Amino acid sequence: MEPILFAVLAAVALVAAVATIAWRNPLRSAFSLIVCLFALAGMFVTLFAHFLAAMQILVYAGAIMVLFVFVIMLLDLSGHGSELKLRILPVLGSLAVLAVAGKFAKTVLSTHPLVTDVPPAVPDSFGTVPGVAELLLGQFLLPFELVSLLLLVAVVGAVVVARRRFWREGK
Amino acid sequence: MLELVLIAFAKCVFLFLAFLLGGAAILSWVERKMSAVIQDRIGPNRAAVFGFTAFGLFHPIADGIKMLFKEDFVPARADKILFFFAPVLSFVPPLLAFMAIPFGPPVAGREWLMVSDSQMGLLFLLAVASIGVYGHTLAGWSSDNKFSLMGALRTSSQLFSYEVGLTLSLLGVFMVYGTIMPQAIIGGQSELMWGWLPRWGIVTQPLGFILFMLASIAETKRAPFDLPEADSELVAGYSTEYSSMRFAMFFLSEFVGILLVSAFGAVLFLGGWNIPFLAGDAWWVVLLQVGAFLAKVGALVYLQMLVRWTVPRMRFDQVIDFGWKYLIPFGLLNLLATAVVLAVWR
Amino acid sequence: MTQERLPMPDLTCREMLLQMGPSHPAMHGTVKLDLRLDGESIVAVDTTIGFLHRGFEKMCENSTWNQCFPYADRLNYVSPAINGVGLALAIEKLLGIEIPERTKYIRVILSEIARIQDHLTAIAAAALELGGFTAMLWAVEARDYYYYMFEDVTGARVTLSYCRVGGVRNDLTPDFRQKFDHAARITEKLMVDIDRLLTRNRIFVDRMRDIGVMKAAEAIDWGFSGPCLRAAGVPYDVRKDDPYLVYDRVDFDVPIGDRGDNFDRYLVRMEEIRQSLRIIRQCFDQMPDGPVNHPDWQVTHPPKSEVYGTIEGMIAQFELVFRGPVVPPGEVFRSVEGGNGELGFYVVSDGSGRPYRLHVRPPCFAIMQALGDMLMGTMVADIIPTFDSINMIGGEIDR
Repeated sequence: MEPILFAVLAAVALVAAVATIAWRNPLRSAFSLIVCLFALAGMFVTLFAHFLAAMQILVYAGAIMVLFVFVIMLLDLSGHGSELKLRILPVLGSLAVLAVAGKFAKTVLSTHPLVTDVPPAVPDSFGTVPGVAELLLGQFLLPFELVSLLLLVAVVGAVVVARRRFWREGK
Repeated sequence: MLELVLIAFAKCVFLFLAFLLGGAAILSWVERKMSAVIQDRIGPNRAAVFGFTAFGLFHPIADGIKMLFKEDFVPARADKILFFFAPVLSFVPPLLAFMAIPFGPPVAGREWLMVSDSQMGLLFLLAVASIGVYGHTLAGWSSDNKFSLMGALRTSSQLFSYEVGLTLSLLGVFMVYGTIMPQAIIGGQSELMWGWLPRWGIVTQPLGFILFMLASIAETKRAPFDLPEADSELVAGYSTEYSSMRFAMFFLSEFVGILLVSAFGAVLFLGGWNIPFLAGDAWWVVLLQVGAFLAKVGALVYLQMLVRWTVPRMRFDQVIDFGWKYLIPFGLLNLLATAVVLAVWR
Repeated sequence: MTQERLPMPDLTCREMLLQMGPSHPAMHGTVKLDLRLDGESIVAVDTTIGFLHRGFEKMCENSTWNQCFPYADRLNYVSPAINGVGLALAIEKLLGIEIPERTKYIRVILSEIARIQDHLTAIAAAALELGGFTAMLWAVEARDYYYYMFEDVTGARVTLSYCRVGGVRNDLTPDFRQKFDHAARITEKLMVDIDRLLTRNRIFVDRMRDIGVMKAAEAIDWGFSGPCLRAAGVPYDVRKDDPYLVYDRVDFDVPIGDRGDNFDRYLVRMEEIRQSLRIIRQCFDQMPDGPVNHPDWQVTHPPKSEVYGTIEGMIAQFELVFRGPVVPPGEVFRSVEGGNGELGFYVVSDGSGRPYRLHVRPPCFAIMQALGDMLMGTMVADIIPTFDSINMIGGEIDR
C-alpha cells in the first residue's frame, strides 16, 4: 500500500513541480504549485507526520499561496515574461540544482536501508501535534521564540515600508 | 487492509450521499421557505409530483434537473482549464473536511460514525477547508470578467483575513480540552462542572463561540459578509459567468459550507453528540446522540439563516476592518484569558 | 473610510475601466455608468442616460389634452398618480378654471398615496441592494395595499389614467376610506418593523452614513429638489412654498436632514411617509361631497346619460374626443411635489385641442447630474446606496 501511495504522490508532485515552471500563465503555475504542495502533504501523512501535513496545507497551500494568487490577480498579464535575460542565469541555476541534489543524495545514501541496515530511530510521537509541540516549546523553545520575534520584526517592517509613503506626505 | 478501505469507502458514500447532498438539497429548501416565512411570503410550493406539492420539497429536485439540462456556457476568452477546475475546487474541500466530524460516539469500540479518526484531528478540517478559497478565486479570475475578478479579489482577501480569526477562536477550545481530536474534545465536553453544568465549549469559551460564529459566517460568504458575490454591485461576483451544473456546484458548496461550519461549531462548542446526563452504549442511546448532533447542527444552521435574512451587507473595507481590528484582537484576548485561567486553575 | 491613495512611483499601476449597466442589476436597465477604478475606489464616473427614452413630449403634441394623461402615468412609474395631477393642474391653470372641491381632495389623497408608494419603493430598493431582502419585501407588502386601492378606483394598478382636464375619471369607491385605514394601519406597523430592522442597524448606518454627501449650497446649484434637497437641510417643498389644491388647508411638517448623505435621505423619506398618512387622514375628514368634474362640457366629458340622451351632450362628447378640450393660447408652468422632488409641467397651447409643446421638468434629472460628484472618492459598493437613495426613475428622466 505504502509504496503505491508514495509512487502516486511522488508522480503528482513531480508533474506539478514541472508544470509550475513550465506554464506561461502565472496563475496556472500557482495552481500547479498548490497541487505539488498537496502531494507533499500526502507524503508527510504516509510518514505519520500528521501535524506537518496539516500545517503544509494550512500554511503553505491555504495561506501563503492565497496571497500569491491575490497578487497575481492584480497584475496585468498582457505583457508576457520579464525583460531580464542574463546568459549566466541558467548556468548558476544548474549549479545550484546540482549542489542541492548532491546534498540530498548524500543524505539519502547515508540513511537508505541498502547502505545502512539501521533505520533512523524515530519516536512514535514524531510529527504529531504533541511531538512537535514538545520539540518546539521544550527543546527548541529559544529558537522558536526568536523566530517569532523575527517574524514580528518582519511584520512591523512591512507595515513601516508600506506606510512610509503616507508619512512622508504628512498624512 | 482491504477491509479498512472498504469500510472507509462505505462511510464516505453514506456521508456524501445521505447527509451532504441530501442535507444541502434540503437546506436550499429550508433557506427559501424560512426566508418566505420571515418576509410574509408563501415560498416555493409549485413543483408537484402527481398533484402532491409536499410543501415545496420537490423544488430542490426540480432545480437539480433544471441545472443539469441548462446550457453549459464558457466565455470565449476564459482560461478553460482553471474555469473547469474552479467549481470542483470549491465543492470538494468542504466535503472532504467532513471526514473529521464525528456523527456519534464510538460503537463497539470502533468509529463507525466518523469517516477518519486520523491523528490530524480537527487540524485536517481546518487545513482542507482553507483550500476552498481557491475555487472561488480561480473561478473569478478565469472567467475573464471584471465583476468576477473583483469578486475573486474580495473572496481571497476576505477568506484570508477571517481564517486567522476563525483559527484563533478555536485555539481556546483546543487549550481547554487539551487536544485536537474531535472525539476527545466531545469527551471533555461530556463532563459536568460542579456536578450540574455541562462542560460544553459554549460554557467554557463563550467569547470563542461568538468569534467562531462571526468568522464562520464570513467563511461561508453569506450576509452580512456576502460581498464576494454581492448581487447588486458585482452582478454575481465570481460566479457571474457560470451556468448549469458548474453554477450548481458553487451553489451546493455554499450549503455544504454552512453544514460544515455548523457541524464544526456543534462539535467544538455544543458538545457534539453529547446529551448531558445521558450515557451508555445501548443502541437507543447512540441513536439519540446522533439525533442530538443533527439537532445541534440544525440549530446552528437556523442561527446562520436568521442572520442571513436580517442584516444588510457590509462594505468591503468594513469587512476587512472588522476582521483585523476586532475579530483577531478579541481572538488573541480570548486566547490570553484562557491561558491565564488555565494556568491558575491547574 | 475612503483610503487615500497616492501614485506609486516605482510600480506601474493602471486604473480599471468598468462599465456598469445598462443591463447591470443595480442600474435598473436604464442607466450606464462608466467607472474608472483604482482598486475598488472610484476615480471617475461618467453617467449615460436615455435608455428608456420614449418621446413623451413629442407624443403629447400629437394627442388631445386628455390623451396625454396615460402617457404621463408612465413618467414616474413608482408614483404614477402624481404625474397626472401635475399635468391636469398645468392645463387647468392655462384654462383658468376652478375644479370642484371634492376633486381637489381626491387628487391630494391620491398624490399622497403615490408619495407613500414612492418612498416605500425607494427605501425598499436601498435595503434590497444592500442585501436587506427582508426590509424590502415588507415595504413592498405595505405598498401593495395601496395598489389594490388604486385598482378599485381606477381599474389599474400602475397606469392609472385617472386624472382628466377639469376633474377625475370617477369618484372614489364607497369603501375607499375603510381600505385606506386598513392599509395605513399595516403601513404603520411595517414602518415600525422596518425602523427596527434598519434605522439603528449598525451595518445599515455604516453603509449609508456620510456616503453620497451633497451639501445644501451645492444641492441648490445642481437643481436638487424633493427629499434629496430636504436631506441637505433646505426646507423647500412645493406643497408648502407654492401650495396647490388643498395643501394649504392641511397641517403637516416638512422633515429636513442636516448632512445630506444617504442616511439622511432615508430618514427624510421615512418621516415623509408618516406625514403623508397624516395629510390623507385630514383630507378624508375635510372632504366634502359633490361632483368630481368641472360642470363645463367644453372641458370635461358630459355624463353618459347626456351623451346618449341629448344632442348637446352628444356634440360635446364628440368635440372633446376628436378635437380635444379647447385650451386658450398661452404658456404656463405648474409644478407639483412629486415623489422625487419638484415635478414641473411647462405647457404651451396654440388654442387647438392639442398641446403645441409640452415639457416636463423631471426632478431626478437634476439629481442624476450630480451622481458623479456624489460618488467621487467612494467605493464601488457605495454606488448602490447612493444610486438608490436618489431614487432615479428611468421613465421620468428619459421621458
